[in-house]
Amino acid sequence: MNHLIDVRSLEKTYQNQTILASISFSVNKGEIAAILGPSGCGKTTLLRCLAGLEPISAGDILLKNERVNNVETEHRPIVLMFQEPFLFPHMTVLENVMFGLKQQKLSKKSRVQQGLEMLDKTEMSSYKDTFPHALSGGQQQRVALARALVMKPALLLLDEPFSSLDQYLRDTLRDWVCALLKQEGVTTLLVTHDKEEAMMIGDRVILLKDGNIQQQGKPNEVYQFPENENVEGMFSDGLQLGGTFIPSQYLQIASQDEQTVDKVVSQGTISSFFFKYGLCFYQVKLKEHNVKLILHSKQEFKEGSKVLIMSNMNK
Amino acid sequence: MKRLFKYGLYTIILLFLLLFITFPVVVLVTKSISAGWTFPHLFPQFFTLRGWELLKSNPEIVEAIYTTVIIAVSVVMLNIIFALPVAKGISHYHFRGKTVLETIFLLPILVPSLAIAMGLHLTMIRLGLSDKLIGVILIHMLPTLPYSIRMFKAGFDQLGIKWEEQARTIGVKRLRVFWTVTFPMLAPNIRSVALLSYVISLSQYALTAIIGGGVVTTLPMIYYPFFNSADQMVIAAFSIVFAILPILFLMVLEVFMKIYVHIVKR
Repeated sequence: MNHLIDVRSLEKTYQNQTILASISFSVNKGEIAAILGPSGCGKTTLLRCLAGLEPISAGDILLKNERVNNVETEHRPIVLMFQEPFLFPHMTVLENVMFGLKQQKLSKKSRVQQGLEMLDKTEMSSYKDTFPHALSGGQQQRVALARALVMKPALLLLDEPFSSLDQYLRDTLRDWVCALLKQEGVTTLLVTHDKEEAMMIGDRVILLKDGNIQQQGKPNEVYQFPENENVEGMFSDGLQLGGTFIPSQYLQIASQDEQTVDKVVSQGTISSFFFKYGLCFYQVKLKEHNVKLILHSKQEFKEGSKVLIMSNMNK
Repeated sequence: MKRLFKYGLYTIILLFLLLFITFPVVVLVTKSISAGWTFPHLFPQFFTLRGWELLKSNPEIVEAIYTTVIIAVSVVMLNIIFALPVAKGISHYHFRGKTVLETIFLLPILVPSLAIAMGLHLTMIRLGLSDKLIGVILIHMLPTLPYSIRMFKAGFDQLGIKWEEQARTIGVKRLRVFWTVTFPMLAPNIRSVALLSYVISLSQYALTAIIGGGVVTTLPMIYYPFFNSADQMVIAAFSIVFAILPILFLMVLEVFMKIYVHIVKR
């Protein structure tokens, strides 16, 4: 296989503490992979290692089949975008975007041209002479993205780039960024703690917890066939029952007196309900597991009523 | 009521400024151009530029201004050159004995500088640096460098390392990142370091006297003897020159910084 980046048993220890333990994965050219994990799982450290900002303790990082372990940050064709835009305050938007091109011995004219082109693509060209402090958070992120993309990086690393924005802006910017990355064909590795974001953006998801990769694959496959409890908890929805996991799509709520052929797997009480995407969801507090389960049902239930949880998985 | 209080406060501040800043400056300037302004007269008898002419025609003073400015500007530049890397190291890197090192860098202002200067004098004589401009410049580093390191460290602390990391991951080399990103972003700290070390250097008497041995004549060296002379007009003019030097320096510095940022961005 011809992977763009190939990470082989990467390890990172810091002051006798293992932060990343034997991480292996690869990303194909043009693919967007999402690394999902709770805070403190080492996902930011992983990006910093790939960018060359942190030395790695063991393993290999291969970029286009070449080992880049000891290549300095500035010489790796990898650009990292942090959570905050970090636009240089003494430079205008255009100067910020052209900042990296200066290292490439290009004429001023072609630098300006490339900068403007990229600002066009990020829909920020009307702000080219504005200073960063006059821009909104979303606009700043756009400029930061333009500054990264203008370098035509082999790999783009995004460290929760939308987390500092409000919900509405995050949703719109996310779709827009995703489309632009696809259009430009940029291979991207995105780190997030938001599983919906990972599912929406990622062609593939890599689940990270406690410094280990728990599972990787296509979002729907990982969602439906979680390999272990961590993945079930982090990524999938469903019910954990004595060693087996029943995904939510096989579960149903039924009232206690209902006649059904499905297997009863649990009992509980409806604790609350809410509407989302045109459907009604019930939060069920399960009797024996002391866990809460959220399920959709077309039937109507009252708060506090006792219900059965049915499964039709192995029918 | 609240508004009344606000305006009252403004009035008090304004009066304070008038009383302690504007008034002395006006008196000083007037004094430098007026003759016969003695007790029973509320206003000067007549105005003359004699004080200023005397100052201008005194080659010793003109020479001293040059020497003082050369020393002070050199001190400022050396401060920036030495304090920047030290402060960056202390602020951005973790290593063993960092606290000890920080304390060592602060020592020159914890120990009376005269005590150090006396000892250094012998060394400077041996090295042939005493009675020379370079010796005085070096000894002026003593009361300035510790402050500069502190101020730059505060700047680096506040800036953090992420700006540099962001610039490097875009593909720009460390040194260029420093000159095009870090340095311009430290502008407020550079301003304070420059002004403080300039003013400290400008007001050194004892250290200059010991190391300069009376051969290196700076403004303070002749300011004291001048003060004993009777002509208050000349002293007033002299004091104004003294006070104007830092202001001029600050203006020149601002212009240089503007030009620097402009060049760096191109």
